[in-house]
Amino acid sequence: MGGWISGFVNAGIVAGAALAAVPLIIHLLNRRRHKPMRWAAMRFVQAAHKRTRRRVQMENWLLLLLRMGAIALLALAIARPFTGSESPLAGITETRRDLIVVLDGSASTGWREGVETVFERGVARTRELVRGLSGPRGDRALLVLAGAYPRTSPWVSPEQASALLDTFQPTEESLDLATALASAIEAAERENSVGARGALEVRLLSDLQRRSFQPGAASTGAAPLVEALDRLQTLGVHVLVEDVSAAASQPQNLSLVSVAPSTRVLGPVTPTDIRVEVHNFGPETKNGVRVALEVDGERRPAQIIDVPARGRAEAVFAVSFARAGEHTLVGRVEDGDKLPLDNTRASVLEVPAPARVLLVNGAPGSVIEEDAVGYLRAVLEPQVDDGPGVGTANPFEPRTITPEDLGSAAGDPNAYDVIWLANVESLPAATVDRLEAWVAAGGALIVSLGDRVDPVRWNARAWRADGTGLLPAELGARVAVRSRSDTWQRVKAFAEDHPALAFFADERFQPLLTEVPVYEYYASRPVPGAKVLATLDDDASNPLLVERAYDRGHVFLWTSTIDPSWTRLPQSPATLVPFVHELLRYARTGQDAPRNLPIGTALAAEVGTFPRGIQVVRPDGTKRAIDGEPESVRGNRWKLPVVTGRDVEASGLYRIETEGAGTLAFALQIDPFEGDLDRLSLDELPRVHPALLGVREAGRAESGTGDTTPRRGELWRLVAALCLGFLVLESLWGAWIGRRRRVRA
Amino acid sequence: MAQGVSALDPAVLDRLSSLSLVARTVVEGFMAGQHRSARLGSSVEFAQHREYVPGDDLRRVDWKVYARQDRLVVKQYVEETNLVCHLLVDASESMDYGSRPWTKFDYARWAAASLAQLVLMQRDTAGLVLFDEAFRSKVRPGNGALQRREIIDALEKAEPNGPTKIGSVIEWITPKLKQRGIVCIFSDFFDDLEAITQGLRRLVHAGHEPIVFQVLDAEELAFDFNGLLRLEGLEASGLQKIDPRAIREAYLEEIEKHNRELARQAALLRIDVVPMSTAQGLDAVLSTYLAHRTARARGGRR
Repeated sequence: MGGWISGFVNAGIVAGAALAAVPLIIHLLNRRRHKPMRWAAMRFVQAAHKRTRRRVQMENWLLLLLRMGAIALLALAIARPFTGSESPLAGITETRRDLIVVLDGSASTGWREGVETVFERGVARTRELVRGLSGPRGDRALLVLAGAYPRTSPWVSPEQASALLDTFQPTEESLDLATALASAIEAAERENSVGARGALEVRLLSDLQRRSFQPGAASTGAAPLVEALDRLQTLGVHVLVEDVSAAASQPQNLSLVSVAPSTRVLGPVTPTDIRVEVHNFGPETKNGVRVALEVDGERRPAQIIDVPARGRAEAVFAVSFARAGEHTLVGRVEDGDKLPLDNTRASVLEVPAPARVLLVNGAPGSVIEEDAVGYLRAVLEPQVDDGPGVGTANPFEPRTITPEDLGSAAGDPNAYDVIWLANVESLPAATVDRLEAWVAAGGALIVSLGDRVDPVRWNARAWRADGTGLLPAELGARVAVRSRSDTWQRVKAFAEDHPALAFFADERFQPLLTEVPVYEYYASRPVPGAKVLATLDDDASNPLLVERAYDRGHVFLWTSTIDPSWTRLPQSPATLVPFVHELLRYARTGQDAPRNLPIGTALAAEVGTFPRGIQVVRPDGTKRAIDGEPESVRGNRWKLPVVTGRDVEASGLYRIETEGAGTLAFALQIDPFEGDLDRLSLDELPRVHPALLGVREAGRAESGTGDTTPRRGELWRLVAALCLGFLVLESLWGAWIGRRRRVRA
Repeated sequence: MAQGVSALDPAVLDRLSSLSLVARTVVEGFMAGQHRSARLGSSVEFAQHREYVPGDDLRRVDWKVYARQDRLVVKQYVEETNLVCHLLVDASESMDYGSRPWTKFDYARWAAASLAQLVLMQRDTAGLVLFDEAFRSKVRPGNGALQRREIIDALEKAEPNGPTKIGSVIEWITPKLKQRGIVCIFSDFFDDLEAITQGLRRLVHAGHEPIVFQVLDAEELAFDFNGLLRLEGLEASGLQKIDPRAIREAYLEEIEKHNRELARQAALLRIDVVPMSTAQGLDAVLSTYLAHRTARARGGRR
């Protein structure tokens, strides 16, 4: 069949041709159903049968063949066979076109040229292409509006495609060309449109933003795009790429790429620098660009900056937040350009409240050097002096209790963000249970050891072999150096990329951690899933700091003391202060869902009280009640129904408002590089992939070779006509036979 | 004859338990329906009175009886010649076919019994021979009520079976018929025509007057079946799967050709052929033929 018929549009229906066997089966079954009858005038029957047998057989077989042929042809007609140009049947086929248009709907197509945007030009060109199809001939179109994900229509008639185009709106997303092409291929393969050389026409109408085509520059890697194009090439299909932008190859465009604090926000009152970063993607320097910032809806005085060609510049706004909690930031480049979408960027900033830290002192001492939390308390409660910290809020609110108080109201874990158990001998089982529940709900527990610690009881109550206990490691033997004057252990390695230790990743500060002597510690064996953040340089490479996630919270184990009795670290303020501060800041972070998200990302959050009347307020101010019910999660918290789909397709600030659980702010941001309008030329396309052919005028390839207006010959009308002919012949033949055999008057 | 159900409809006859009763019913029926009394002969003498029935010739009403007894009777006459009627009935298996509740054999024996009744009523002589491929049984020619009883008993007891060889049977039986007379042969004549003709020729040459009563079932003449059939031939004539609609035309041609040839051969021998369909009223068939025969006799032709 391969040479004559290249395939079928509805391949599954070809199996229906097997129904042609039905008349034969009925015929054969009927032959078995002869009614027996005694008969006297047999000699005449036999004579008549002998006379007529051959003729009747011929008549019956012809009738049967006509019936079978009609059914088979009907099934084939519905299956819609088509041929390639090499088929001997090519001359009698009718040309039918299947057109897939991948329309770039990314944010960059909002670039306005004159009175219309690139996207509007793309829609107009798509409409033109659709008009070139013929509905009566059976031409079909499949439209793919390509953004971060493809919005793929079904195969529709040209008229329906034209109506669909009226509903198309540009997205604020980046173009994922690979996914769009893969979607088109899948849609085509579902319909079995692909199968013959030149059977399918795929057109891409785009502004040819370079990053969408080139490896490493696009939001998706090159591999999926190459893979999709390879698939098309394997199928003998080229993508005809049309440039629907009339802009220069490197249009001038300013893009606000970041609105964020330049340093970590320590807490309220503390002055914070908010950096608004502007990128000039154009070839010319832009001087005197006005950049403004709104904080919680209040506009700050604009700043003027110069942005070099293909470079960046930033405006820094000093902001002091009066209260802890969420704050919204909206940066604007006030000098409008032709792509307004990337001139504004929103962000949500969480100003942390002071961390509530409970220090459980297992070995109180009369002097700071002998107190298990003496140094710890000192770095968390800095004395007020005339230094540069004047006027700032203390980021920590420490409180010290004894292990005995841990079970009392004063030691209620729920009133704290972090609990540090320092040299505590052991914990009652009930307290361990309480702590487990508290950590699981999001609390952070830090355990540092010392001479009071009873490792056996700790292991018995807070460690489990299957890793379900609180401790991130099983405590082993206490290890001490022989002579502190000439031997000690140091940190051999630490997780430089971990937020709690990232401070020491800087070469300047690395010795502060790695050169501190450790004289005594507990050997330990981490549980599965625990992460060793720092190891000692002893022979066994024992852990010094181990972390494990415990449901929503964290548990840290410091295998030495946090007082100077076993290590000199507390006596080095340059080490102790960043170590403790960073560790506590990281520990209290918890697992709250991020609030600054790429556009299109679902909005998800948890709240501490049951929320009612949940609704989302979109950037344009419209509100919509969220479908679904809050879901109860561990720690007496409630997970809000996810906001997704068309509700998160615009960039800007979103708010989820609830009754009883307050308001949560989110910022959906466009890809900061979407404003890079550097464009490919059509001539460069084949270098990206041979399956890409640039087109400037419909049907004529500008790059690459070959006929770019593929045609496919369909045979269904011919087959349907044959089927009709068979049916007519069957009727006539049947009537003629019937008349011949009819009872004679 | 009316096409509706009458007292002489085969369906009615089929329900009559006694062949004797059937014979009387048929004969009285067709005699009552005739304007002229049916007779085998033409030279008549008074035989008896019988009750007048509408349709009787008023010239034959015996007015003297009417004057004396105040009832209408007609005079009946009998032939002077002593007629001998040999009834030959085919009792082969092919006669056992019937698309209705009665078979061709049933119909044939009704007809034979009726003719016997008629002949014997005329005080003539009647005999019976039952045959299949050979002579099977006989009732010697005779007359009177006892003869009628014997013929009817023989017909009632007969069961159709075995193959047919009409021609050879007639040839064999011809020399055995001592008294020349009318030989009424009741059969479907599904046999070799040449042999049949040969047999008939022997009968004619022996001075007999054969009359061929060809008894065929209505479906054998119409072959009006639907659906596929597996025909099981009687007389061991094999099996045949057929589409009746497909071969009907050819079948009818074949059977008509056979019947036509039979009639042609009979005509050459001046033998009457009386086609009988089992769907026809027996009295109508017999009376029509007898009337035709009477008319022919009056016209001076045999």
